[in-house]
Amino acid sequence: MPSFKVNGKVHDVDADPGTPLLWILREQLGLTGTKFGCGIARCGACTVHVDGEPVRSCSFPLAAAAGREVTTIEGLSPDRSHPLQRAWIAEQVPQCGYCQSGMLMTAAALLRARPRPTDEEIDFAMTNLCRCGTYARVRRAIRRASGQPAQGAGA
Amino acid sequence: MPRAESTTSRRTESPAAAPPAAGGTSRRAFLWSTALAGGGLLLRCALPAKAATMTGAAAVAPPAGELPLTPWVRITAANVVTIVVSQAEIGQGISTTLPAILADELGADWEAVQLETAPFAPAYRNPQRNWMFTGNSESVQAFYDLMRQMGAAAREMLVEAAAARWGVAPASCHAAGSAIVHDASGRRLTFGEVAAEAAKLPVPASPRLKADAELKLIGKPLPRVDVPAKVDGSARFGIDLALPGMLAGAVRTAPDLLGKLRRVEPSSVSGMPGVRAVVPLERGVAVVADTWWQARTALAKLQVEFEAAPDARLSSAQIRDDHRRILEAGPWVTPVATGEVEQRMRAAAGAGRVVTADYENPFMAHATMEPMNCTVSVTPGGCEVWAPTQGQELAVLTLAGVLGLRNDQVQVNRSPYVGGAFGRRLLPDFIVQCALVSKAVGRPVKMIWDREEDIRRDWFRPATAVRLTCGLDAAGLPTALAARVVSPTILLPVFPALAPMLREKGFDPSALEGMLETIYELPHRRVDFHLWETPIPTSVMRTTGYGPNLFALESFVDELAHAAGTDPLAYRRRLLGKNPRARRVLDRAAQLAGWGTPLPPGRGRGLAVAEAFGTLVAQVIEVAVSAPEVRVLRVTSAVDCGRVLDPGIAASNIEGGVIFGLAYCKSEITFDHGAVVQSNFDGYELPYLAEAPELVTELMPSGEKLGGIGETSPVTVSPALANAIFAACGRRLRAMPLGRHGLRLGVARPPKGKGYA
Amino acid sequence: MRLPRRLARTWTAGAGCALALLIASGLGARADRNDRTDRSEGLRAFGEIAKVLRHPRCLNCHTTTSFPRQGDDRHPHANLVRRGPEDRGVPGMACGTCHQAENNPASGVPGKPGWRLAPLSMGWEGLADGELCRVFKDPRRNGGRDLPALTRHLASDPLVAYGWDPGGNRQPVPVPREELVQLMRAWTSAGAPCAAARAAGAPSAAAAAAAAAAAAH
Repeated sequence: MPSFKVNGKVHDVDADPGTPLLWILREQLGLTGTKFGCGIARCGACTVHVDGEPVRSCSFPLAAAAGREVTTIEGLSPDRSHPLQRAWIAEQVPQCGYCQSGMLMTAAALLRARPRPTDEEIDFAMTNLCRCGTYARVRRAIRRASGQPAQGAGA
Repeated sequence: MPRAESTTSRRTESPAAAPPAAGGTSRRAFLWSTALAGGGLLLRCALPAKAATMTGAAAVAPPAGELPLTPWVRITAANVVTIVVSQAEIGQGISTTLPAILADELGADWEAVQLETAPFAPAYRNPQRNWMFTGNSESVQAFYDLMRQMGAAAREMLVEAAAARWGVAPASCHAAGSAIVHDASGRRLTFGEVAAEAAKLPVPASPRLKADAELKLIGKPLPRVDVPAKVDGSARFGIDLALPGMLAGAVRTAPDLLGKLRRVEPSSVSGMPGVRAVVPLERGVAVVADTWWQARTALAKLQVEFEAAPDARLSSAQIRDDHRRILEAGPWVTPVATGEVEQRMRAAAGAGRVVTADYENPFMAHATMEPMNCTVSVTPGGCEVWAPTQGQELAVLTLAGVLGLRNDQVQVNRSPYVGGAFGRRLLPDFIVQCALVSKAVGRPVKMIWDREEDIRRDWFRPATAVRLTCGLDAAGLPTALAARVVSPTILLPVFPALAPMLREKGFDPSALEGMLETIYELPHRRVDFHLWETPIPTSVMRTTGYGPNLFALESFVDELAHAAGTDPLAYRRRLLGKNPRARRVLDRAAQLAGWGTPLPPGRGRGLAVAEAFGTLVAQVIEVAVSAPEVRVLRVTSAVDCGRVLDPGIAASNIEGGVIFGLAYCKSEITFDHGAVVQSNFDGYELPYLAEAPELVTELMPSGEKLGGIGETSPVTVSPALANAIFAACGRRLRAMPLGRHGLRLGVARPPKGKGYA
Repeated sequence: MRLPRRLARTWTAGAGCALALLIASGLGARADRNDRTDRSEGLRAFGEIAKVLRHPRCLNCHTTTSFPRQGDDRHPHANLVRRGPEDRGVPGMACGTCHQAENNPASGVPGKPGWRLAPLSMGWEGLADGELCRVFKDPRRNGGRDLPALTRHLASDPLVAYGWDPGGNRQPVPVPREELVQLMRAWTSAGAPCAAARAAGAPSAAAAAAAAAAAAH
């Protein structure tokens, strides 16, 4: 079975290689911060990083993880110190919170590529679905985390 | 910041892969239990039983003479203050606001308070309904006084105990920071140091409540207690629960809504990895395995046949035809008939001044981001449930009935975090299903519905039809209003005790919200209702009856204003002469939105105002229409909920509710030959962040009675949007969603960059 | 020489345009019967090739817009997916966020190595046969490929393979891959002829847009 790293730790998992990474994380490794929302890569609740790139883990087979580094919400920072986590707290973004792990992981990938993202870079990167409708605060928090004034965030 | 229980080290829940715990320990101890180890004292506060205001409450009211004893606060000798949270945290922030109210009265150190999720117990019932549930935007309204009293009573007991020890008058002491201070001497005793003595004192019947000036938490924007756990993945939702020895279940039900299981071949999946059992259900089949993914994989391979139940009448086209026929022909019951409607209509008709319009609302699915799921352990002597639920009491009663158990043999534990609810989780259907599967396999089972089950087996917000007819005077103002509403019941499934009223009176009061009463000065009014029978499961969904009915009414008022050649703001103001609160929010929303200032071609502003859930909300939506795209640029909301207990949390509810309201305009659930057409977010599309407008929100407390917040702002979105589209391009939308008119939501901020534009 | 009516109209439309068309279509003064046979066979071959190029499996990512499309009805790609500056989606929402190296039977999301959009220069939407043909074989508009390279691309590119292995309930392209390679050879050996433009020598709006996009690229 393929071995891969999750949040810096090497794992050997005994499971069908077609098993979505999402369910390996949740059911084999107990990393339940990554959420199941749709199973068809539409909602983004399961977003993690694979070698630093955002991936919707419901659509990413275990076999493809072999030899790669996976980061989940639990590994974004050891102590909620990632600038996005701080901004999320400062802006009080979450409501029910179920989508927020994926939301944060997408935002983290965006900021890695674009440390000061424009409005349109934010709008088209953040396609994670939030049923509670926290989008305005997500925009604000990303701007805050990237050192930009909330003004211009359109919300 | 107080620590929500799921962030404390007391929780010893084990990951799924862990071996079952050694026997002898209550399973609950591994989960969301919070029993304190030694030294804990309970301040038992008496709560006078209140008359049941819902018909159904009588069935579950405590026996005569028995007072609910309410363990809301516990204090250890080490001064750990634990406050119980009776209401489900479904994203609305209630797990911050309610305990903060109590802590403020108590004088507890809010930063150090521990919070605990309430088990099902009569003590935690909504005191206005005598029924344990979370919904109807009424948690704050229902529990505010009780939280104040419980906090004040506990404070007085603690103060009295400390004063007695010092030999001083209680009035010379005060409580702050989880301690009692003797004002003159500065002597100090922690709550924990006097808790044992305090617990022996009688509970004061009418403790002194603090004056507003003494309050330190109520009215302030507190950091939500649940937010930290929601930014690092540590918040445990129902779906994250892991029980020792638990199996996982996946379910598939018949493609046809009324289809049933005909035959299943368990051998077709025997030997597949992890598979433990195949459990036939009435309308479907569950596969139980070691992990959910194994169960789901086997389910896809399972040989199963369903009885086809195609039903041409169960199609969206047929439903619309039905509604149109009923709008003409009835029959009706008439819950409202005030003034001289018939005479005035006749008079207006004689002058050629009667207008009428029909409006349609679509079927909608709740589609909470956390799909329906539940963990149940059924044993010969009982049933224990761990569920993301809004409806613990209904779950207990239903399970007891289905399983043939006494109510006290059923324990329903609510998960401390719930991934969205919107009314869906008031229902116990998914819990019952899980219990049946657990019973069949004799093991604890966690059932997770995939999104397809979650949407196809929803209890939908129903399609409704509303006909509004108005007689007008020479100035175009209404002289009489007649409404016809065609709707199935929405309240019965979540409050079964509605049944007698529904039978006798023939109308569902929830389905008529926004019609039974109106903010406008319309003394001559008639409301007819037709209880539409449908085999489609229908229930309450965020905005309940207000949303669908006020889409019709606020669109209609807009139409009347335009027909009269009057500005829609001025027209509404004339009808709101006796409602200063409504006028106030209306004027403010209009002012903030720049109502009346010129807009470029293709743009328009629409207005809607409503009273819903005891709160007044006015909204202005600004759109840019370039067919087929409708870009929602800005939504301005002015809200008077009487008193604002937490402006930050209230504002977030209003903001999020606007997006929820846009979802009502973006998608719909349709039926074809007895089956639900949509099954995931590909067919049932929710708004994206890029489609989210700029939000301007102003809270305008009036000091009046507390109103609800959670469901208010989506109420006015559909009509304000329809009115804005009319203003922008002259098209009148009398039905939602936009797709019915060849329109769709566009992105709020058109991109310009390479590869984006 | 009898020109088809359409071409005759073209002839009168403008000398420069007509000349270009004549060169492109191989209808020079030396045209003889064999050439015409070759040409018509070549055109027929390209007609078959075009069925593949225009099939949603190919065309959905050979768009002339800032976004890809999806499905046999060619609706705009879900999740507001954007082409991005390098045709691989945008930071935070790349093609590879959802599409992996293989079709995913669990999620239904298709995948092949190097999933991406074709550059704007290779956008084919709205092109009539002749326009599509010229764009297809123009090295400035096809990723710098000559005819043999184009054939190799269709024969063995792992992303192109998606057309025949779309996964799920998706329809594959209508011509088997081996047959497509044969058609490419037939078309090539016939001189890779392209049909004349549709009317009045004016390129279609879509072709103009594609050309402008190509120029911008």
